[in-house]
Amino acid sequence: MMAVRFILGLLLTVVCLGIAGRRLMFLYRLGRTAQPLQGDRRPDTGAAVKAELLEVAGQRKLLRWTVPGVAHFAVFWGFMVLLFTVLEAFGGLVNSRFQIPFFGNWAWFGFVEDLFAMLCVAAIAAFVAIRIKEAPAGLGRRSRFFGSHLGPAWFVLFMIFNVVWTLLAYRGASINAQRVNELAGTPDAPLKFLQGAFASQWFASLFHPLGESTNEILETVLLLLSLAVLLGFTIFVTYSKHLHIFLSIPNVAFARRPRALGALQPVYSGGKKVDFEDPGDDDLMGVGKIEDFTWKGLLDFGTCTECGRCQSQCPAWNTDKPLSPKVLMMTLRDHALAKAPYLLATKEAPEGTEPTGIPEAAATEAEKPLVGPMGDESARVDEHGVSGEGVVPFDMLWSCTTCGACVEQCPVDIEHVDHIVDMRRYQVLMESAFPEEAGIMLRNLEHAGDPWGLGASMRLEWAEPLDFEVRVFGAAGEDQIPDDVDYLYWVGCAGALDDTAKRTARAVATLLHEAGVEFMVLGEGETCTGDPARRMGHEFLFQMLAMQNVETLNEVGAKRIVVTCAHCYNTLANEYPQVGGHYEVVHHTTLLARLVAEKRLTPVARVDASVTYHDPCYLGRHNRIFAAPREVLGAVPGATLTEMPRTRERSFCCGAGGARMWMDETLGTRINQNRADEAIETSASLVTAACPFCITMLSDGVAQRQQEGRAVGVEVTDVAEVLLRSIRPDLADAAAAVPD
Amino acid sequence: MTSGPEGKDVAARVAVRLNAGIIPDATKVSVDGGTVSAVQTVFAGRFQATSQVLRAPAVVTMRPNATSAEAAPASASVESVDVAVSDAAKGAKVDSREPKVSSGRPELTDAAMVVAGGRGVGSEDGFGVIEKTADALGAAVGASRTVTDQHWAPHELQVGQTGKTVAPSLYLAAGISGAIQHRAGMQSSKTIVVVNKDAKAPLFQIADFGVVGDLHAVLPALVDEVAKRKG
Repeated sequence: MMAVRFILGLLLTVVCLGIAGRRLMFLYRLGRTAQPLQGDRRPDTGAAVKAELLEVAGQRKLLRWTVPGVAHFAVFWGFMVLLFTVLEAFGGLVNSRFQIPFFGNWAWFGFVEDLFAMLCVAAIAAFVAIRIKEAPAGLGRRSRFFGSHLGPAWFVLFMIFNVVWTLLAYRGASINAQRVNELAGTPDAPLKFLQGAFASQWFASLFHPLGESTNEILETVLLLLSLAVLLGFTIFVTYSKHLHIFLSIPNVAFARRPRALGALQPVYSGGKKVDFEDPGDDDLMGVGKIEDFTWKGLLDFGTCTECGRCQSQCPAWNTDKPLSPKVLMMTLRDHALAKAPYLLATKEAPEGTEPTGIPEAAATEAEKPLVGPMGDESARVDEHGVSGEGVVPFDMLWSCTTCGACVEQCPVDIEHVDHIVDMRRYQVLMESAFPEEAGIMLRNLEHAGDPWGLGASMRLEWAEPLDFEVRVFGAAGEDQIPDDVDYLYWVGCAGALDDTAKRTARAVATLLHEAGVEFMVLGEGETCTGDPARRMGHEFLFQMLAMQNVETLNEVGAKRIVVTCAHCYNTLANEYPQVGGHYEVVHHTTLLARLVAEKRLTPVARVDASVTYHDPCYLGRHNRIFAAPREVLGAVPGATLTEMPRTRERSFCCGAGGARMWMDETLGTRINQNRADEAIETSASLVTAACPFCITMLSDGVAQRQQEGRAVGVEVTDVAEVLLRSIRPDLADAAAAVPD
Repeated sequence: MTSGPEGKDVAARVAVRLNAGIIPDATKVSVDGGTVSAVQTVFAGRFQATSQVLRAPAVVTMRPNATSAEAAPASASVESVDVAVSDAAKGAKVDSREPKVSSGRPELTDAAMVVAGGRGVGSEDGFGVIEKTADALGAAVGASRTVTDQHWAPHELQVGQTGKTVAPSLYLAAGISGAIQHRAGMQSSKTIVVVNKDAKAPLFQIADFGVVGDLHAVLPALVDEVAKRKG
């Protein structure tokens, strides 16, 4: 009997692990056809270890969603403990009395093993309940599982359940079989499972009436069955969306730290940064084919578990647009796998020979463009998946606002935004294919240095109404920022040129002046930081603007810079170091909060209003500035802050990011309206934000409702203006201009 | 040549063939002792650049509406030319033609007059008054982004950052407050007339003439007056 079960068990193990291993090897070879990792992107070992502890062991991001988080925690740790049980089962193949040395026969160990197995079962029950409650059949697009593979997901739950019960049942039979041995007169052998292992004992009592010899057979049968289930499940995992149980570990280790938000990465080709002043002939400009992604990109696609947390937060998806970060990852993964035979044959063909043996399906897949053409009538993103002339429909790619809600949520650190921008780069730089209305913005940046094409000469008009003189660099003949200047005030295109944002620019200038902070502006020396060009994928234009600005800033000796725009902040602070600009950059809300805390600004006048605050994506999620604007609002007497349901890390985009400000929003409903309605729901009379583009978008949404006779008296304004009303009520410039 | 997409394309090819200097997008042209100089408006109308063509002959494309058409004294004669067309050029075949459905109004981008409506029109029906005014004046119809986003008017009529850029002799903006996104598309218009209820609307800052009042009262009065004067 022992010999039979040993041989069968061994055979099963070798065959199953062989199949799974072959599949993993295939995935590894597929990864090798992709681009190398960005040259200077080596994981910092300390940060990677910390991330593994927090995110894999600690399940940090999963636990942000309490019920599914706790359930996943239980399954993860249940399986970790179950590995001991599995080890015992394998030991049982050799020796029916096998136990783990030292603690294998301790009662607490048996108890812990069975406890975690039962937690697994409870968690599966929770998952079943969640999947029924949130089924796409009932909720449609609102379900986070919409577009996921539902059949395999149910099968995974079923298989986890099978793994657990077969192991417990085997242990139950084993207890009985051992009692049999004991009665047969070998009492000297150490007993196992007799204490603590309550669930196994329950199975033992269930099987006991079957009699001794039956239990001995049952033990062998159940042992082989449990191993077959476990090994079969392993094979299934390597062929399914459930690969994350292996891939999440390297994916978390190689992820950008602290997170793949904030700065975008420069354009890399073959692991080397592309020099835009003198690009190589063969340099890749972004991603035009699936193999142009780095292997970390492919790892991202393979690691996606289709949980849909990203989808549930995505502003594009929530306004009925054809982009779901989850579906995008799934689509890229499916395409990579379908094209794999072609990629492997091409890559592994000996030098100078034609690749052979490419199946027709793979060859057809290889011919599909990665991004479909504009106006593709056949492009669909629905419950049947993604279809169209390209792998990724044009509108799917261009619906992204780069708000980062997906990256923020992803439990396995997938870097959606980087991949989207990389694909946009190829579209813009190589194909010149993008929503054409955005071309005006690009042309204006090139010719006039600002997105509206107004030109540098108008960059000081905002300061004219002020009752004090704003110091302009160079006006007094200086060629370096004088030592008495605390901050260079980077006004930004909106602050200098847009009427509403000019009010914010003046409010911040006035407050700094009141606090006795010496500041200076560059006036005509400023140009756009390049954020909209970069997020659209026009890296060349970004590099041009960035280098020009860095040259200016370095020449004037800028050290500390204060900005009023969340996008300027992100670019100056996080992206200019990539082109040699290293400055201490502070957002105006941070500086104002500090000045209030230091009592250099004392809000006195009451501003009796209920206020809500919208976290701009590029201030909040991308740069983790959540507290400062709220501290400023909290310091204003009379103002009471009511938070919107979606706030801080889960803030909902205004719709302007990712250069969407410069494109028409013709699909689905409007993002800014969705967010403005949420703000209006709080009954706040002052809707505040800390970014000129958010303010434009929200004002537009509020104006729409006001036209319908709702949201009467609601005003959208910058946090700084609320503070100004409390410090210089004489300047209160209440009437907000309605944008049009 | 007209500085439209086709005109620019032809002008560039002509200039290369003639090995001539080219000035695109000119607003004025003058000939002074054999040298051609032209004025271009740069940086969205903030500056005027005057350039001379050093290598004659000069090819100049003119901004739409920068000059009015004049009858030339010469008479045209037909000259027959044999043109050899390569096979490669015959690769594309025109299968069918569909003439653009004409609204009976001038084309927005090169109309001499544009009447544009904004959020102030209030509804799709409300936009009718803009169309009536345009027809009374023989002008093209424009709209702000709000109007096209709300589907009160078709998207092709959008004037502004993400729509069309226009520079007519007369731009009448009704119910448009004039956020920077809209101004970006019309600020080089020669004469700007603004009708808005809100005296603080930013568009008044760049207006040549302004009326503070409800467009639904002002525009019908204008239509009546135009009809009266036309007799």
